[in-house]
Amino acid sequence: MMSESILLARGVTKVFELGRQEVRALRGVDLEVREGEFMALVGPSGSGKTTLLNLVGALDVPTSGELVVLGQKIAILSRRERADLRLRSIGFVFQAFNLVPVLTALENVEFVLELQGLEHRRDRAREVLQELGLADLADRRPSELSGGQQQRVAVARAIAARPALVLADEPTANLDGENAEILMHMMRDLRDRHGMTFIFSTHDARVVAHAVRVVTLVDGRVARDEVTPGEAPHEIIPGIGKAPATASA
Amino acid sequence: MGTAWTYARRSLLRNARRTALSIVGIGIGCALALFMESLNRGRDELFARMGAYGGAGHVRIVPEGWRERRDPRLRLANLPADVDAVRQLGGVAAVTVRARAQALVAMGTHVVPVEIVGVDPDTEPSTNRFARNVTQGRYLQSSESHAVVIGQAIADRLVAGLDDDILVTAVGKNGDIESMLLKIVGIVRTGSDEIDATICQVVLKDVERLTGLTGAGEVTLILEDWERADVAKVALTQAIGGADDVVTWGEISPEFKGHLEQDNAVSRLVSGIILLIVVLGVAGAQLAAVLERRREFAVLSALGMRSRMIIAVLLQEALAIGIASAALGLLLGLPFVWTLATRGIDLSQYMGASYSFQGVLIEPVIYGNFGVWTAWYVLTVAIMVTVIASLYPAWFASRTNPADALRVA
Repeated sequence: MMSESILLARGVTKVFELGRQEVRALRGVDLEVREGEFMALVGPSGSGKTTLLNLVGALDVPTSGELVVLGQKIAILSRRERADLRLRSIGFVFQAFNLVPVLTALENVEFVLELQGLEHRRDRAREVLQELGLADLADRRPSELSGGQQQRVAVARAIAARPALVLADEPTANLDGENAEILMHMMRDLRDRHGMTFIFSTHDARVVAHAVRVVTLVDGRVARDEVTPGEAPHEIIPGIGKAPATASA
Repeated sequence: MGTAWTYARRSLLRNARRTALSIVGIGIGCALALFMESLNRGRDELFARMGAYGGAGHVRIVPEGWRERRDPRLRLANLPADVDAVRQLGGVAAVTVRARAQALVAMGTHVVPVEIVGVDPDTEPSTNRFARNVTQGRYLQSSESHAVVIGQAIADRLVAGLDDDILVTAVGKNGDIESMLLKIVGIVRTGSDEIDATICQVVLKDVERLTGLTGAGEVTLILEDWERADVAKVALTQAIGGADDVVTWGEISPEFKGHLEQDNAVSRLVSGIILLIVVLGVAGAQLAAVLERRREFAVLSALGMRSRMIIAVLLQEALAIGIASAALGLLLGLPFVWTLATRGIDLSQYMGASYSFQGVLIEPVIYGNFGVWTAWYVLTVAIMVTVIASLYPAWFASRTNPADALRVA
């Protein structure tokens, strides 16, 4: 049975105005992503990776073209409807972690659940941290966590409400190799266990190796779209999520 | 709002110095506003009391038509019904009846125009402080006639003293000139020539005899709470049923009330300017705080936080600052307000022992008002200031485009 389309882009462009200059960040992107994919978005700086993620995440609207995310046409959604779409169906992992600094790890996860108006959110937040092996870090604030730990908490926050789509903008850019590996395994685990769709941008070849599908953007267009033939078996790392002894940002 | 409230609360402590400065700024502003409000209320109360006990009363039942003509020859249409209505009214501290007449008083070659007030000597002292402060001689007695108590200024102009007989002349009921000899039994010195020149009291019966007009021209009430004058007026108007009219002290002395309102408006304008400066200062600080957290709001917005929730969080922060500022404002302001309420401000070096305005003798010591209202006042002002100051920064934060903010960062 064919899985459902999560993302459908046809001739999507995005033009930014910087003073009197126009910057064409996307020049006609055609792309379809199906449920459960684990896709890497690669390409040189300025190729439009972050812009495309922002559009897919309903953070911004395309200048032209058709972009349908989770069945919703992004261009016609109001600001509030886009916020609702993000809240209900999309999880975000940012390059710079972007945890709320005054909240503990548990509260950061709980906050998203609170925004959704879910009940028993504290228990749910604890469950998620437990699932990702972060229970010991629950009461620590971001400043008391290493970079790797912060990014894992950010993943916990992103998937706490079980979104259909998780977007990660260079999630390993600020992590060392070991933490990058742990993070990618964690994301693959979540995709395998919960069927979530992951789209992440990266420059890191080691991270790309985890992807099942690799889409390369060049100058705002899809230059290559490669699918790993016969998905590589995913090795679950025991003790995933626990703070490594040498954890550092 | 559990975690959102935690977020708002802890955000305040992120830049504790800025938060503390905001609280101090608003607290000082509130303390100043509280002091001025206490002074205003105290002055209002003092002026109203001075006016009321200077003879005007808080509420007065007058004849129909008096409001327009102010004619002292008018008499009440139904005095017994008026008195009954007053008896039914609660919150009355004192009541008296009077009748007035325009007259000339003369001794020898000296003549002074006055308004003679016919009074009930048993009740007048409870409504008129001048009747309690006769400086020479004594006050009138209900059993006597042909006796008069005058102000020092009238005595001086007549070159008269105690036990002197003065001739009073007035127009009678039918237009005839009527005269009567009165013996000066008391002289009142208030400290104000303007007031002293208006005091000329006789018993009610003597005014009736002199003018031929029977009955009283007014029923004057002193209320326990002067601020209930309008309420008392409505109740009395309904009770007396239209035969006579009811006026408040503000209607009796509109110039006096107008002056009071003008003073209050100026004082409140000054308070408003102080608070406006505080609002602008706090708004600047809040805006700086929002700009610093722009990336954070962008992230929260990306995670699905709606604009109104961002506004709610920032207004919660403002509320917390407001409550803390109110506490500080009370802490700073109450000692001054208490001192103002118990010791007062003595203005005698600027205006003498007493002065009069619009026929009302004003005491030189003004006491502030103190009460439970101070807490509500400061809390309301502090919260209003912080919430108003936070509206623009909150709106600004809510308009953050998550994509822009993240891109810039």
